[in-house]
Amino acid sequence: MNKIPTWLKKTLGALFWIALWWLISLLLNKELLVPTPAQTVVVLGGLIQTGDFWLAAALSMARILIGFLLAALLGTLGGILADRCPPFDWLFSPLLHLIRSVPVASFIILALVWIHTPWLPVFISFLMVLPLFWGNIRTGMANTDIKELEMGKVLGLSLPAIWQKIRLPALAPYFRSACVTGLGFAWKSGIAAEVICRPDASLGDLLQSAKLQLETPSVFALTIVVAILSLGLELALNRIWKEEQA
Amino acid sequence: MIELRNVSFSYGDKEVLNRLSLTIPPQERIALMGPSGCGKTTLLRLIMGLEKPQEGQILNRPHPVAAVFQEDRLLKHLTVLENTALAGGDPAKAAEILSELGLGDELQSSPTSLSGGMRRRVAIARALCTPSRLLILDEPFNGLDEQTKAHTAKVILKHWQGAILAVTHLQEEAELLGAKIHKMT
Repeated sequence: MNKIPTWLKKTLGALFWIALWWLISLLLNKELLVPTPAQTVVVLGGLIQTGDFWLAAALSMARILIGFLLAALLGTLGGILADRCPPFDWLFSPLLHLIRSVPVASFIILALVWIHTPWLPVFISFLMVLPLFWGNIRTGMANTDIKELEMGKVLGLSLPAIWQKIRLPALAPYFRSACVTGLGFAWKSGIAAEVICRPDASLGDLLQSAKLQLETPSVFALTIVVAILSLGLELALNRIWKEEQA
Repeated sequence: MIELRNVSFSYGDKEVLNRLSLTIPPQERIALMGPSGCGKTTLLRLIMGLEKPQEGQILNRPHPVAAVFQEDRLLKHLTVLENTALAGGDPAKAAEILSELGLGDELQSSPTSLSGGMRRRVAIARALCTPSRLLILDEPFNGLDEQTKAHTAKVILKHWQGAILAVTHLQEEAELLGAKIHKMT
């Protein structure tokens, strides 16, 4: 089994689940409940030929990425400050616990009251990803090898040099891990926010419209689009890391 | 001249140093010897500024300090040459010292690909490239065979003109460095 290439194992795994999906849809024989993969692909083919779809995909991605990037920036700064300044940590720790434990739907409904609709997915993606970066970077700061830091101090390295040569390389794996996990979080929460608040030109709005009109194949097709975009971003990110390391 | 006056230090209830005084003139070489746990490494940490004396004073404490720690403390993501010139040392001088220590073919290698003895020599080269008036060596010859120890000591003495404070368990190692022995109990 070890001689089978990874790509083949993954393809076989995916084919198994598609076959199972097909079987269930054939057994139920109700497009409204579970459309066949073929019906879904036909709808998807139709969708990608419309300008509205591409505009919605681009704007959804932009909103979610803005939220993600803001969370990466502020979460990283927060994680560093939380490690360096204990009162800052005590102050923000309850807030982060609250964000982690409150269901995303509650935040979306609450935020609907305060935030203009197109910005809500940005805010929700930001909110869901922020604690991840904050926590990961704080852990990375705490786990930086104290002996390496001592070495830098004794040998007289400047503060920027200590950050460049010791701190940042130690934080990099924690940052990467937060990026990969955070992208998935951002997509799921951002699309959920779009489904509820329905901003113009968004994948969430298209999903909700398809659901209200009982166009189940469209719901399936749009869900696949969301998954592909999320996976594509994750793969792109992993590729960037690999190129950096090479 | 670096001077320790009546320095005391404890870890909790455990007293490690009690009113210790030591003078390190410029270009002096001193080897600290004594049983494990007598406070040799603690004394080095005080001089390096990593601990503060609970009593007494350290006068003219140098900064930075060229130090070889008990562990190599090399940065895995940097090459051997980058590690050696880490403290702002001239890369050409770093390459020269590494070559003299038998590591001329490893300049671009990662420290993770080196043996323990090779990593030790990189740590020594890094200290020799650090601009300071004091070289601290905490068991510098760990993991080196007798021949390499002697050669490494020669390279140290060739490239280091300032004071040396070394911790060792072996009198032969102190002799290799031409150091006066200071026994701690």
